[in-house]
Amino acid sequence: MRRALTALSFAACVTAPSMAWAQEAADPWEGFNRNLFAANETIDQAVFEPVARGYRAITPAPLRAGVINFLRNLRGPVIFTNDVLQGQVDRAGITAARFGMNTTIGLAGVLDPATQFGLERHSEDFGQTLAVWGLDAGPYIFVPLLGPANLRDGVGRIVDVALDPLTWAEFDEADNVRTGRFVVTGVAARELALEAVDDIRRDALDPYVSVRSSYGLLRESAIQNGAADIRDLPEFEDISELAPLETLQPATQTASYALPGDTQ
Amino acid sequence: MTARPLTRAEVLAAILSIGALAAAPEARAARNNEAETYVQQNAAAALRTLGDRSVSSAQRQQTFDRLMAQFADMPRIANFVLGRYGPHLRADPALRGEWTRTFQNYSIAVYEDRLERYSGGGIRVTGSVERVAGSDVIVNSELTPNGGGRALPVQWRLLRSGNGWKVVDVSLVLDGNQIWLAQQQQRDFLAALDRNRGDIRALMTDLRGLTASLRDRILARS
Repeated sequence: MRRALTALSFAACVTAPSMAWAQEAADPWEGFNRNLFAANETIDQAVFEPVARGYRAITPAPLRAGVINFLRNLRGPVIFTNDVLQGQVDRAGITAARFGMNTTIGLAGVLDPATQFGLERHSEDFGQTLAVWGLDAGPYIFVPLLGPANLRDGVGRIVDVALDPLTWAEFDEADNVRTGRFVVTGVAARELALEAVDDIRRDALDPYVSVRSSYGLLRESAIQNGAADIRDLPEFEDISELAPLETLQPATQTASYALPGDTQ
Repeated sequence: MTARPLTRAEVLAAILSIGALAAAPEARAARNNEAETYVQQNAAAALRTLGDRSVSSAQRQQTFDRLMAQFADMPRIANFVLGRYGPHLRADPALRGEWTRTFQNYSIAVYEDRLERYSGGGIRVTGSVERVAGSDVIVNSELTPNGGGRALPVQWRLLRSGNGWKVVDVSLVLDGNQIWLAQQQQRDFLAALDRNRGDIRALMTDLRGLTASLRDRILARS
């Protein structure tokens, strides 16, 4: 489960204020989105998943971690810009310090010494900035190769590309570097998502809906910069006034353990 | 007796004392040791159970089922995840019981399957905060995989139930972003019910199929 959600979160981070827990995703284009989701599944199973499994098979975990660190560090300037645009001065300072430290003593971002120094990583993107500025999410969209998004986040991703200095950098082989970064990001993100996607394909009531709901909740959390204000959590209705249900314990109890609360 | 005028330091001390007194009840209410202990004991027991290879898989499952049924308020969660369809069950206690049982079996199988990755690992409660004093608490913890590795931050939401506590939701904090699992389940179930015109029996059939598949996988692993 952790890997599943981490992967979704990472996918949002490398590409991507009020808690709307009860708000269901606005998905007026569901039929169209489902077709794109199905197409993505076909392409994924034929190409991306095998590539990701091959990448995992031939690379040691520390190397893959270094690749992810490197890719995340490249996003530093974009995160910094969005921190500033959101008026988050402290977080902008952390992002700048992390970028400086990891780019230098972290060997171009392959290592992450900043975290060891207490500079915790966070992510921002222009989709979150638009949300902080008060823009609604808009309709849900599923884009093959890029994954789940909504109209606001989709626009945000385009702006983030424009905010990225690497987009405008001119040097020998610049286009190849940009293409290489795009491909490696895709492979690394898919490798992280291997268990996630397996879990969803195998266990989800409806994989399309599970991806949509996970994306929506994780994005809401990202917009709030992490844990939600507990006052915004939903109420669980008190159902004690209803007729009690018959015991829900398993019919046979052969357990040999003493459980917390058991009479000794 | 002549009144001595208060010095500036005395006035400041008095203000600080009043501030401290005013803040004291809030500070006491911010944490709930009873709920923290409840999570620590029960979550640790769940992980211990899943990691115990000295008993048969059937025995392990029974113990885990029993533990989870005690640990979590399954009827309340089962009602929550149905959202606006929950009231449909009010008039039909038999269907409500069937739904709660189906949901409980599914949930426990999911937790058994997912927590197996942490079996034999540890849990460390790191604090708590009261959402509503004495009746609604968020307990913070970290799950450590067996053999080490980065700890997974997990939050537990507990509601007062009779004289004790029961878990109603669990959240994971991943890459700094948080997801509450009952909320996600609610979204998934509502989408399914919207698509099948509110047919809870059809949803139960789907959940039974998923539960059977989860059970097969757990059994194959053990």
